[in-house]
Amino acid sequence: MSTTTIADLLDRAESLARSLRATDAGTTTDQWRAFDSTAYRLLHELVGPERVGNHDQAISHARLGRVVNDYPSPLTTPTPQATYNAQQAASHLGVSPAAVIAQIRRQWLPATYDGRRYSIKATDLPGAGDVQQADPVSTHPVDRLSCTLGALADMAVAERSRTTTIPGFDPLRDDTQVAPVMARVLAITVAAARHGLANISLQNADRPLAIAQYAEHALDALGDVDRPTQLNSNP
Amino acid sequence: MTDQQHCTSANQPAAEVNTLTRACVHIDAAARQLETAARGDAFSPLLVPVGQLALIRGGIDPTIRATADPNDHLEFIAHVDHALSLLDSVPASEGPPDLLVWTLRLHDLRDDLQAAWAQQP
Repeated sequence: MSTTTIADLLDRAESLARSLRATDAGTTTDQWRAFDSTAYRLLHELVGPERVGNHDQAISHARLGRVVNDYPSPLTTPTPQATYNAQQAASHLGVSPAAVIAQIRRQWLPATYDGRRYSIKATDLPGAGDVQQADPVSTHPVDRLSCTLGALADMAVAERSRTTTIPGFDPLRDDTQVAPVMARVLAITVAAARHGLANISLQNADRPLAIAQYAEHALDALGDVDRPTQLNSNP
Repeated sequence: MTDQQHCTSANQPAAEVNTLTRACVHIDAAARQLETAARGDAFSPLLVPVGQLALIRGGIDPTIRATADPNDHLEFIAHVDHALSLLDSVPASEGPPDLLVWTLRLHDLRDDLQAAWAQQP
């Protein structure tokens, strides 16, 4: 029995991203938006929930969290169950965290407060969930890439919820293991955004440009991640 | 050239060096050819892509340089094509996580290289 791993899907996604160089197939706005929202969902799932308790882990995790929080105005929320803090909600809405807090205080935006931070349901954010997902039977390379990244995000969710059977081996909760995978996803995002820029109508090119700029900057922000990771290799 | 951990030739048998190293050697060999063609002219337009090739090679692996090879009969553009082909075949576990971006930059640079070469007198 063969089992698809995170490494398999990453390899496939990289292969599809490479193939984009050889194609000048036009990309529709919907296709780009599906990729854009899937890339964000994957990054969000890779980073996972905030760490509490251990100070060093929380600091290390905050670095990855910042990379996701800097994603420019995500088009959709990762999952309906997701909750955001004010910073993340601000990133979604394209406003400052102070503006989000002001909206909460005026009761324009529903939120709960645990004494330290606000928690906002993804479904309560305006415009959440209005992006159509990529067509799974499409042969367009951008659609295939979106579907692969979507499968990867689903696998990250499934892996994270599974109890590890190997003591000490839980790579999705280890930021040093996750960072190199995020770097690969960001590199794929750069390649897809460059392709989108060249093949989408000019009036819609601002979004791929913003994502390409973000992804390149995020790669730099991740720093030196050229380390072996269990998530990059097949068992 | 100093401070080199890996110093090898593009004509070295493939089995002796890994794919990533071979790709870097081809990039460096292409840069070396362009630098030679600039004939010491500090204002030569060829030196622009030489610097860009050096940045790409350094981004992939700063420790790899090509040795001067008198038997190198490949043209610079063939070196770049070989490098692109090799970079596309590097197993994920061997390359840096952002290898895809460096490959994309080299691919974009290829056309500029040909244009710079065509401007040569």
